[in-house]
Amino acid sequence: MVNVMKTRRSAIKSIAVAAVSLPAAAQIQQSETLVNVKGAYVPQVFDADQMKTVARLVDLIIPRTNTPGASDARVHEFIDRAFSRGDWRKDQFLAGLQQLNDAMFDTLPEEQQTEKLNSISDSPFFKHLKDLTVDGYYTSKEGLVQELGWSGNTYLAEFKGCTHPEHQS
Amino acid sequence: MSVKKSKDAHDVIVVGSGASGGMAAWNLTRHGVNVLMLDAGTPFNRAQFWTHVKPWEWNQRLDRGARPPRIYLDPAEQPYETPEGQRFDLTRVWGRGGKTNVWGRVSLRYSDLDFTGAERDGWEIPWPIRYGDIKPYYDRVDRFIGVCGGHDDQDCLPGSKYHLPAPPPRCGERLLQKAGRSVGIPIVAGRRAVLTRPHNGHPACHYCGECGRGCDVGAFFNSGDYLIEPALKTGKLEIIDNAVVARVLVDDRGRASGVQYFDRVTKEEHQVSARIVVMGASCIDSTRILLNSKSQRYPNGIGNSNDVIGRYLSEQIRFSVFAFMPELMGGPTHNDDGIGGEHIYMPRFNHRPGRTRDYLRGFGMQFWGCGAQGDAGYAKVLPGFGIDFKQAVKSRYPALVALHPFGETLPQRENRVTVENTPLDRYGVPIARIEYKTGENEHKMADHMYDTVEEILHAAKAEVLPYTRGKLDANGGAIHEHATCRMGADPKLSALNGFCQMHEVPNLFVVDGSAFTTATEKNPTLTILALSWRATDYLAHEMRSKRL
Repeated sequence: MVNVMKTRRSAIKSIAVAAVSLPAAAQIQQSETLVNVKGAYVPQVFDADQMKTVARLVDLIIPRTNTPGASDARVHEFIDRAFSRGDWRKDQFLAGLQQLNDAMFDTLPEEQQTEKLNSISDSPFFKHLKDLTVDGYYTSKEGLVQELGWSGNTYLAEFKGCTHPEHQS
Repeated sequence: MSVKKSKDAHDVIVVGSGASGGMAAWNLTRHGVNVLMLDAGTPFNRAQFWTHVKPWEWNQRLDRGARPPRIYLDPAEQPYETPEGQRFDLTRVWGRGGKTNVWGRVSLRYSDLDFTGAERDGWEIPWPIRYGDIKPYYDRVDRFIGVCGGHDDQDCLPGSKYHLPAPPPRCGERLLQKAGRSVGIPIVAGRRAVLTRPHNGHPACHYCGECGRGCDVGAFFNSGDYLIEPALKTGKLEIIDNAVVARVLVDDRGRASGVQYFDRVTKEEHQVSARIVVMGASCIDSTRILLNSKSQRYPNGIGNSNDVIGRYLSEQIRFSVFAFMPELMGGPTHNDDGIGGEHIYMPRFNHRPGRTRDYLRGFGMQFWGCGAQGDAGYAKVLPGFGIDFKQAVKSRYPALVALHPFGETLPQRENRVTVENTPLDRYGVPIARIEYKTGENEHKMADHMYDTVEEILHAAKAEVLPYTRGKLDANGGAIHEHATCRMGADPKLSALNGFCQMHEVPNLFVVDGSAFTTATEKNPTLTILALSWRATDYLAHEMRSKRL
């Protein structure tokens, strides 16, 4: 079932896990290498070609419409970062990428790329891709604020709740 | 290594600084009693909580190498073991205020339906107290800490004239109330220890919804700010930080004489003495300490000649089902944070006239996570990808509701905490072993819980996310451990009397969740506060009367 909802317990667990995922030395080393002098993200796990493929894949999951798409929200970087922090899905994901590469995925026209994704939609690779894209996009400012209209975690003097008479009778 | 023995003897040692220990220390210092509190950690600094860090900022901070403050105890530091196939998720917070820094704040009064369960169905022993005994203390706790909710008595859920105004429900919660009404299941205002207006010098909630990371202003009850700070101001409270208590010490007469603890940083052993010891280290840790307190007089652990301590561990069964309300799909997104978590509650109803059931005891329902959240995790289980998928996620975003029932588990003798032949912790003290299984009664109840969820969602014509009927969350997930040092009228069958005082060791009190006779379907913290207040009123009275 869905285990990503923000019940207090799942929030507790995910925050606790994030806090202990790396020893201190690794944290420092990582933080120094994530951005180069120009401020661009430096991939830790993917090579340049893989970054391009992943950017394409996340846009197939959540494309740009009148709001940003997943690569606009740097979701491919989010995934690289997750793997650099030890996300358990890394090996299966890299293996899936390799298979797409073998099938010349990057050179296919969009329709065939979509078809290809449909054909592997039962695979662990696809599940990881979709889950990570959802996590990355809908926690980004682009996905959460621009797309979904979230305005939470702020200071309010009053909480009005439901003000619709039709919801109450 | 030499043992450091404190020269001063204190009136009372309180072990633990959470709801139960904090209340004991606060109330005893009000009575003029000198208290030494032993806290397994240090104070938390709420200025450092990541309360107002937005989801994308969270990732940026991690990238910079920053980490949120460490609130939860790492089980690697203080392990516990479970038998194969009996996973039990134990959540502990060592440090000032304990779990009250991040607790769920659901504050439901128990009723006589809870206190008299065993009289009616004959399963295990009854509580030694009734609602009338504890009601004055519930009133005091409500007035002191501030609990919002309704003044709407239910037969199984008393109201309170001291409740602060309840926050208005979100759209999805209103629609669930409407659906519940249509099938005869009342869903009422929740009772939560969140300040919906300033109260006793504490500021009102500002509705950011991130209470689970710790409140940056202390707008919900936490033991550190609400109990321990005022207790320190009396000059009657001394606190030792990083004191990991291992054992209660015993004198020649079989009475508690103090405690042995280890410094969490230096690992040095210390002993401190007192006339009275009050245990409030939370259910599992208090139980572990009592069972490790073996002596010639108490080879089975202090106060445990009847082999009750450690047994009858009772948690709760839970699961979650998520759905979308059709009226809200495709509509505007609101800020649904509110007081963080539910504003409504479904009280137990299975005992009411016209209802039948094939199991004992009951369940209630909570509704964590209704409305717009700081992510859209449900998208992972919506089908497809691409533009249609993106649209499907967006249209459902304001419409999410979550149904989250909690059911009582029956106390079972073999559900238990032991310390026999377990590995030693970093101080050389045996760790806890937790053996815990749910049984037939729980699974029958879970069926009825699923029926109820389905009945409400069907009445609401909701689109339900896939779920597996019968599936339960991992045991321990409610973070509501009870009953391993239970109170009861019969000293042969219980460890404590109704004032949390040990039958066998009158100067030893246990005031945390382990003192409960049963788990009930309700969240325990409000009752822990009320019981600890009542127990320490009694304790102070007994001291004044020279019986202690």
